[in-house]
Amino acid sequence: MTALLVDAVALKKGSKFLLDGVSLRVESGETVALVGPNGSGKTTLLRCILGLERPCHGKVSFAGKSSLRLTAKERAQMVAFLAQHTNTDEAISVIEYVATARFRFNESRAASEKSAYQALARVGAEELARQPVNCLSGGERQRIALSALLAQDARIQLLDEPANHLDPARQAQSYALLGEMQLLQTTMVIVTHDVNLLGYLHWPEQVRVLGMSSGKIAFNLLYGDDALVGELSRLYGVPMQRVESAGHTFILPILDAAKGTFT
Amino acid sequence: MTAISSSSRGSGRALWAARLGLVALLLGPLLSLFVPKLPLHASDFILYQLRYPRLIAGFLVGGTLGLAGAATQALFANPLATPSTTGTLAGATLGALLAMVVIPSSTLGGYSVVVLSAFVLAMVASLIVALVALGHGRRTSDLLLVGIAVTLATTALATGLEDIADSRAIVAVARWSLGNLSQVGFDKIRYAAPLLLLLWCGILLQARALQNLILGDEVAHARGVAVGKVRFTVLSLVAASVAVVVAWCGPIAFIGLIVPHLVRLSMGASQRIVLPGSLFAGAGMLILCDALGKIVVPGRELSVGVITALIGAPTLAMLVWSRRS
Repeated sequence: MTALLVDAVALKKGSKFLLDGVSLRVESGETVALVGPNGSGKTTLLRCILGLERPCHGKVSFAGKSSLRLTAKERAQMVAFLAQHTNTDEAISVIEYVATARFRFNESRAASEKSAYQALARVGAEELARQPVNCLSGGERQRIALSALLAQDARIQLLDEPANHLDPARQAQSYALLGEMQLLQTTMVIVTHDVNLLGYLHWPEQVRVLGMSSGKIAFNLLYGDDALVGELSRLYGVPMQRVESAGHTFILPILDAAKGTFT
Repeated sequence: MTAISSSSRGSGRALWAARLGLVALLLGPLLSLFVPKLPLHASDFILYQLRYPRLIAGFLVGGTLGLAGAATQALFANPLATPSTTGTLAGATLGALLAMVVIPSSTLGGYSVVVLSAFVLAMVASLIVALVALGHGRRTSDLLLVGIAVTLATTALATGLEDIADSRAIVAVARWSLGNLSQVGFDKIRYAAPLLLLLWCGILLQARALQNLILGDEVAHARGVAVGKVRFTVLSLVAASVAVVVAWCGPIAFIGLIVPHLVRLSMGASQRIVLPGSLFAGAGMLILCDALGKIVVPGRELSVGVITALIGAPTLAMLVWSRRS
């Protein structure tokens, strides 16, 4: 079943097209990664899907329903969002922080907290429940932000740079955690600069990678596809190579050591 | 005088409470529960016509200002946002003044007009501040600067209004403009209390939405909060409740700034606690400040607005200072 359909969406700011006829289809249970250089329109597309921007052309629909027809709470049932920057400086407990994400449900506080506990347990963070959010480490904050996402219980999860501002170990762990969500048939759209982090997911080869460039979809390939290296090279304008190591596949830019420039 | 001294033999405890303003203010209602009902005499008059209305007014006004402060902070996701920094209080003051100069406000009908006028200008002022402050990436400095600009403009207009008003209106307005609880009676309480309680409920019902707003507009939106609608609703409720209070007791500044911070420090930042907590703490604080105003200068009474401003202004400076480190 099609969870999300973006149909020929265009968005203009001034005379410039930020999105120029973008179409994509996300099936239920699928993981899609949006990659591309800065300013390629990834974040703008995400904002269109969330209804934060209104496209001047085309439409976004969830499970066959046009996003314009949805109320705020109905949209929250369709799609949840993990922002790059979330305010976690408030002195509120983790359980309350996560329970806050249950806004769309008409339920008692006890019911919200029960669901919040379950969401925390799913990312292995139930021991943090009573701690204040503003005293957590970066990795812990990422974990509870993810469990807040799960607590919303939406059909599609949109993640904007879910490993941003984390050290390499935490980045890998974050994606491993997303890999566990893959196991639960979660529908995910992940925006990332770093295509290699996808390698830490549970089934990286099943991830569909969409390359974006100047407001258009440049390519649409599975992570395991051999053509991906060539497409990424073209997308970023540098030669890249697939490197296998310790069971993981990485796609890296190749630097000409002699010249110190890209060949 | 003879009436008081003769009745003092009859109801020693009640009169003792009535004479010591501070004690009466806090314990009077409690004490009276244990004192048998007596025929009306001076002590009863003081208690029922002066102390009780003042205590109830203190609760309503302080509660409103505390709650409005907490709601405004959440609304702007900014710890320095409060009706006195977002132009709401200044707008309400100008609106009330405008109506008071034009029509006599001694009647309840007149009071309604004052409230309405205060509400309209409070709304205009806070919408201007909200549109500017929320349009530009929400920097604290933007909010404070545009708040100052709006406050300066309304203050200038208010001064101009006093210049052209006739002298009787000015005298009536002068005491009001300091912010005090001494002129309240049960007639206005009966009018204002149900209105304020309704507005309180309206604000408290938005606690969950506000909690989401604090985490960021985009996150709140994605979680199903109609961000613009919630902002406008809460802004209107705050402006309306501030208008009722300002039209009644004059501009009482800074309760809305200090109280939510104290509540946050002592009880955590959850809106579920901060909103009602600020309501009760604001009520308590205003009643205390009012009592303080009676005892600071012996034989004279300072307006409660003077006391709250004297405590509030340095607190604001301190909060700005502490944000730098």
